[in-house]
Amino acid sequence: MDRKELETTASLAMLQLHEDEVDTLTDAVTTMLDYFSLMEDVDISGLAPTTHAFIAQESVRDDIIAEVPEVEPKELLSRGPEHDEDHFIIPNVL
Amino acid sequence: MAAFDTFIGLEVHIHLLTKTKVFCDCAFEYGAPPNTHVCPVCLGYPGVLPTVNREALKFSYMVGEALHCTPSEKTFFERKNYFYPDMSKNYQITQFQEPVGLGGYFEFKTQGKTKKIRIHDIHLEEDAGKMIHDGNRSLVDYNRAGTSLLEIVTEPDLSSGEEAEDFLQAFRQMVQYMGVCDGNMEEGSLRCDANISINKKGKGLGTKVEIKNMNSSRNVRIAMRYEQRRQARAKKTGTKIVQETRLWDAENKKTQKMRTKEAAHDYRYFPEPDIPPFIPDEQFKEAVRAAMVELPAVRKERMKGEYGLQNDMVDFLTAEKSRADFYEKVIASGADKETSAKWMKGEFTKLLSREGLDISTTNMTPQRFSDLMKLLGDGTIHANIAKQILEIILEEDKDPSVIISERELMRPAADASGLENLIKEIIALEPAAIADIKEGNQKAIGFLMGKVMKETKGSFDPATVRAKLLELLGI
Amino acid sequence: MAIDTKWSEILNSSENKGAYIKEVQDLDDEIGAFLQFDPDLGAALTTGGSENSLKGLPFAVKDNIAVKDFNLTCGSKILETFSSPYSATAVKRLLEAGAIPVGKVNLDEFGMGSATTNSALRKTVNPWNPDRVPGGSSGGSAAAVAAGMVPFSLGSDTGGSVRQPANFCGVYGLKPTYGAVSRYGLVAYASSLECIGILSESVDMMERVYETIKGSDPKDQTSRDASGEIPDLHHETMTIGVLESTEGLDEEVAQAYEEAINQCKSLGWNILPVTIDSLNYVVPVYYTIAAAEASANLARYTGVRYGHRSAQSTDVQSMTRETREEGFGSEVKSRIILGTYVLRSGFQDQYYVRAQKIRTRIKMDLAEVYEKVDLLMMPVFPTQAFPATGDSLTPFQQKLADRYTITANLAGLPAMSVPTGVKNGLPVGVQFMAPEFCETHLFKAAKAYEAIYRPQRASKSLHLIQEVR
Repeated sequence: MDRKELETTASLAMLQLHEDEVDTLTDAVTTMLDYFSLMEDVDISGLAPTTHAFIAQESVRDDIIAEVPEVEPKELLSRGPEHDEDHFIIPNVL
Repeated sequence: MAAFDTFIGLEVHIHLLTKTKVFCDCAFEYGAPPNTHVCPVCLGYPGVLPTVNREALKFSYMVGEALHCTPSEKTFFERKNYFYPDMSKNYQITQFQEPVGLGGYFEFKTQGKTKKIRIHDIHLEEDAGKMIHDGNRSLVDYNRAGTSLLEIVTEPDLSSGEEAEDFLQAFRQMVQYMGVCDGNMEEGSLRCDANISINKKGKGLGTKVEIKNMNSSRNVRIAMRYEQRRQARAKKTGTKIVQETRLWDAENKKTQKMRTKEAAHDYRYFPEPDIPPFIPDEQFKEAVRAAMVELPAVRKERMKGEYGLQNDMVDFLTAEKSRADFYEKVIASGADKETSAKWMKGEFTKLLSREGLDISTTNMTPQRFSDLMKLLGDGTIHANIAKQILEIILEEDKDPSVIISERELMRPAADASGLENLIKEIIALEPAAIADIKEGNQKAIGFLMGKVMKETKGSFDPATVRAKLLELLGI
Repeated sequence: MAIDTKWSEILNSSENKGAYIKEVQDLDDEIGAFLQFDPDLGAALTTGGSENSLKGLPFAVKDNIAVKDFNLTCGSKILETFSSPYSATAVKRLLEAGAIPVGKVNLDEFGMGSATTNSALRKTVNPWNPDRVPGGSSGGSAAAVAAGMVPFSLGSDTGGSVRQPANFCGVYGLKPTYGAVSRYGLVAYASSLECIGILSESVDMMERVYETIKGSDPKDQTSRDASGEIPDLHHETMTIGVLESTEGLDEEVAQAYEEAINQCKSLGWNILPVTIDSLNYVVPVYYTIAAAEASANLARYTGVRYGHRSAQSTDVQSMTRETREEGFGSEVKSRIILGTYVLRSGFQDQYYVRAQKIRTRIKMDLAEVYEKVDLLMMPVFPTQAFPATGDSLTPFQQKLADRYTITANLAGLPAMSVPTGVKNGLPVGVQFMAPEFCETHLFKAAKAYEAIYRPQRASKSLHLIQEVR
């Protein structure tokens, strides 16, 4: 992985890269990607991907409103790093 | 425009009328105070998991059935990865490889013809929260975050803004009929983005431009017309049409290139490991079938034939399911088809809109309406009285017969022969007026009418009185 | 039962409790297992329990599992000040049985690591030797049990994170069948691989805790009850599959494995050597899938709704980037980048999709093996607890060393690490791995082995409880 790919990927992941970690990160990721090439040796023809460990028995939720909320919405709002009475506050998005 | 073909495809989002959100048991209530319908799940707290709502799946499969989609026998969710502050997990749970429905079509009337538009797919997903921008900060409300959204993606089969508008209205009517969406575009329960391209006749699709931010079907129509012209002008002047997203500016009636801060998106879809694939079993399929209703287009045709109604009347009666249901119950109770239709469209609707009432929640039951129509039909009461009774039912929640017997003024005249005798008496008492009439003075007829109406205290229909009077005068 | 009685009395009288709290605090100054130790807070949460259950037993919880009102730091700066407003389902079930969470224990940040050295908040040492790591990522959970500070603890196992530290610290470690224990309240790292697991001082304790926390949960739609009958053993005597070749094991570990095979024979079990070809691919498959899932699971930490927010920013984009830059450690960042990369369009088929397909092959290979054997017995990790500094394993070597534990996670199968002895002053052990929902077979094997070798206490351990043993 070169620097440009690292930067593109980090940007998709919303990670600010600081100069002093670019080399370490590039090395760590490149080592792994090189190692992943081992997977090319495996014949995968006819194999369906495993997306879930198991297909669970039918499990869907009934459409019933929680009688008592697990946590009071006010308490959740109060955990916002910045908030007022009604809203979570962030720097302007526009 | 004649030199160009236009291709419009729509992405319609409908808010499903589930009681709870799609992946948690918070309620959704439009207009609720901000951040009052939130929980650790829809706020993306560490450690929580989504749980899919069966009703949301049922509604989705119902829409799939109505749109003739192939239903998925094993549908699953995926994560669509991108960062935005109103999306609490910074991925949206949506569907991609295996949506609830694939393919399909929808037929609707436009410009006097039936148009068929192909559906690409329909998929179930979660909505994001809302932000208000206030100076140098933004305020985030997550009430809407995680609410059930069904996206319907059409093929680019529409060729004008008018068609797009007609499609949306017919589609909106359909989902309202099915009870899966309230169809309210102002509140955002039904939203629509479009993609549009034009090309020289016969050349196929052109460069696609996405249009967002159209919050009514009317706006969709004029935005499409604007964009059609803009692209045609570009073609004619040799300007390159760029594949981009443009926002509709309703105030200035034009589309504008959307500002983008992000580099190209790469959504990195992958199957949502927290929700197992959903395999509809027989019981679920049966529940979907049982919940299906007769769709508007089908119902319109049936009612036209069954009740012998004109096009505009049947359009009116079937515009809303509750109205069509009401009408059919009225007829089933034995009232006259034409009179009932006429009264529903006329006085009743006038009254409902004046009082701001919904047909399905007033004191006027189909049975009462039917009784009223029957009383009117057999001459027991005439139109003026019927109008008054209509209002009294809404106010006092009583049957028409009760209202009539309670009110002296409305006691029906004995019978038609009673009326005839009365008119004969009056004729005998007013020789001068009779003479005037014989000389051709029409005003004298009105004078005699007034006499009769006064004597009968208005309990006969004026038309009936007039007809009888003329008959007895031999005119 | 004598030990349990003692444990259940610890928090019962104020005299015992005072002595317990003081001794744990003193001992933990050296070991560093706890990130938060507050038995009173835990006692206030306990909701019931009959005498015959886990009533009164103290336990520790890995700090990536939610306990209401306790911190939930995940060993990360990004959640350093975050406390949980709710409890994980597994924790709730323990509270209902009367057990008492006494504190939250250290881990590699978000569960990413094999030595607990990736914790941004505290250093934890191995109670057997302070120069050695406790293993990871559930290092605090293992150290707390090994040091006799609690009779059991909850950990999480994504690729061996319960079994490997249990092995390094000489305690029992169970990774249940995927979905057998609800993940609700376990902070997600790699959702399709991970489970809440148990670390305990005895097999009996393990079994009781497992029976308490298992079972489907409406809050986790991937959770399940055992479907139908649990398959019987193939024969009256168990057949244990053992690996025909085990490359790259340290001498002590290889010896311990040989000895364990002999002990199995002495128990009258059949030994059947097997080869599992796909073992050669489990590490790249695992790290591809785990990193991909992690890249999405960790996207929620942006300082908008909770947790750390960077002070450096005037717009949302830079706030998000800086918050994540400041809040995450380097191992977490490198896995996020790796995971983002393997999902990118153009690379997804080559990495992520291919890994998922090989995962299918691995499951098929194992199903085939279980037609012939009841349990597989494998090493846990190629080394004993390694030194925290100096020429110990590099991060990459640590990942390669996960090959024996990862398989159970990829296949969703239950596995349990069992201490089998002590060599050079450090514990050694093996792991048994069973078909899905055959935890009872694991307990059966572990109990038989426990009768031969009863795990010793670490050199640094709680005096109060040690006396009872």
